[in-house]
Formats: sequence, C-alpha cells, structure tokens
Amino acid sequence: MKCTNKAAKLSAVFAAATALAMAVPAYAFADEGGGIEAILPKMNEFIPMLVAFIILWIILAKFGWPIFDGMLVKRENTINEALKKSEEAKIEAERTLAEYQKQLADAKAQAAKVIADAKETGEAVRADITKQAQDEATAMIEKARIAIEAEKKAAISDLQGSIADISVDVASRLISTDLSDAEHRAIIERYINEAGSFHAN
Amino acid sequence: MPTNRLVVKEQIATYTQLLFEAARNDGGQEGVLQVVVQAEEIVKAMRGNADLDGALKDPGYTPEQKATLARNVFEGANPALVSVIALMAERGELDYLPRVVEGLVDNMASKLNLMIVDVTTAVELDDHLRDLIKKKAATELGKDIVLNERVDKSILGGIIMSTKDERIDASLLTQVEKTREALKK
Repeated sequence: MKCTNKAAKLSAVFAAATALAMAVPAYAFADEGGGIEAILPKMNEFIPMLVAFIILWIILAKFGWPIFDGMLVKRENTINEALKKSEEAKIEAERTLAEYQKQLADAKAQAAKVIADAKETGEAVRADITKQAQDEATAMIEKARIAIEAEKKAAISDLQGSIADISVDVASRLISTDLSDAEHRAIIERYINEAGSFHAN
Repeated sequence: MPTNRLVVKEQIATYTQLLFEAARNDGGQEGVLQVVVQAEEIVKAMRGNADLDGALKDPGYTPEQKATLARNVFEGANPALVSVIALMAERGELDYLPRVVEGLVDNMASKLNLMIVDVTTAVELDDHLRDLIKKKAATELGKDIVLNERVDKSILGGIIMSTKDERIDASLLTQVEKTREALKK
C-alpha cells in the first residue's frame, strides 16, 4: 500500500515537471542561422530550459529520488533477505542432506550389521544343527553297535549254552548207560578217597 | 498247641526223651537207630503227602480220630514211635515231629556216640565201600557210624554223604552241572 502511494507521488512529480516544460515557449529551427551558431544554444532558450531543468532536478531530487532510493533500498533488502533465506535454506538443505546422508550411512551400517548378525546367527544355527545331527547319528550308530554287540553276545551265549547242554546231556546219558556197576563202584571209591572233609562243606 | 517258645521246647524235649528211652529199652542201639530212620521217613512222607499231613492235622477230626488215623497209617513202624506219633496227633502237635527227630539224632550222638550218615549212590554199595565210608566218616566225625543207604540213579554216579549238619556231594550229577555252568560262562 505504501509502495503504491510512493508510485503515485512519483507519477505526480513527473507530470508536474512535464507540464512546466510544456509551459515554456520553444522556438522553431527555421529561424536558425548557419555555421557554428546552428549548434550553439540561444540564450533566450537555454536559460528557461536550464531553469526548468534545475527545477525538475530539484523536484526529482526532493521528491523522486527518496522514493526511488527507498524502492532500491527495499528491493535491495528484499533481495538480500531472499539471498539470506536462500543461503539459510541452502545451509539447512545441506545440513538436512548431511543428516540424511548420515542416517543413510547409519542405516546402511545397521543393515550391514543386521545382515552380518543374521549371517553369523545362521552360521551358528547351521553349525548347531549340523553338530546335533552328527551327535544324533553318532549316538544312533553307537546304540546300534551296542545292540548288535549285545545280540551277538546273547547269540554266542545261547549257542554256548546249547552246546553245553547238549554235551552234558550226551555225557550224562553215556555215563548212566555205559558204566557198569563195577565202574560205578570204582568211581565211588575214588571219590570217597578224594572227596573233601565233612567239615569242609 | 502252645505258642510259648520255652513251653514248646520243653514239650519237644519230653517227646524226644520219651521216644529215645522207649526205643533204647525196647531194642538198645539198634532200636534207637530204627526209630530214628523210621521217624525220618515219616517226616519225609508227611512233607511229600499233603493229604496225609492235612488229615492228621485236620481240626474237623476229634483227637481220638486223629490218634486212630496215625496208628493205622504207621502201623508197621516201631511201636514206640507209633505211640508217640499218635499222642502228638491227638494233642495236635505233629508239627513238632521234625524237631523231635533232630533231638533223637542229637541224643543218639551224645548218649550212644552214634551218628547216621545218609549215603546216596547210583548203585548198591558193597561191603568194601561201606567199610571205606564208615572209616572216613568215623575218622572225621569221631562217632560210630551207621549208614542210611539210598540208591538214586538220577545222581548218575559217584556218592553223596550227609549228616544232620554236614554234606559231601561227590556225585557225577553235581560234577556234570558244574561242567555245564563252566561251559556256559
């Protein structure tokens, strides 16, 4: 609003100066002589023009220049402020960029760490599973070996028992059928002589 | 039947003394020996025959019926032994009989210096073997020895000698069983 008023005042000053210049009488160039006089100003024209110029200059200096200067200063301030804001925005943008870059770097580092941790955890889990599977396999093999060994021992023991039973049964039958009474008595006599004491049992 | 231990012991001692004196008065050493052998057989018979054992101890019979039953069952045995067993059956004290027999054996050893050795063989003994066994047992036990012979072919061969407290098992059956166990190890 203030700027509009100053523009209106400046317009009014220009209008007044123009009117003053228009009010001063001007001579036609048809009456001018030849030679150097053709380019030199005539005093009766020069003085009013000079006066008008001075008045115009004074008026402009008095009323126009401050407005114009104010506009320039304002424009300068506006530009400076815009530049300052731009600089601040730039700084802020750079700061934000740096922050984003830092966050990005942190995120990348964190992601790398998460990946590394996950990889490490995965390796550990894989190692555990592998070890557990190996242990279970070893235990199963050991159990199977023990079971086989037990079965083998049981089979051998059964076989030994069967052989012993058969052998002893055969021997018993041979003894009971083949020995004569005299042989029995000979055995009895030998046992009586070789047998231990009553008190030893 | 009394349950007091001392009373029972006294009663067993009374039966033992009664039977021992009756047997000795009746037949001397041979009579005692006969009574001991027969009493041992009767104990074995009662242990192996649940019907006989149950009948002699059946509370459904009167004491007189039990005594009569005992006399009839053991009719052929030594009269003194039959009388004592009938008395024990009448009084419901036949469970004491094994301990009475043990007492008789002890009395025979202490009062007659006589000991019975049970001999089990697969064949009959001859006199030579009897003398051999008697000498061995007399030497070791310090008593006069009477053999109670038994033939049992299940022992396969050899000899088993036993007294009340000691036993020598030199039978082939035992040797065979030991061999069987050794082979199985």
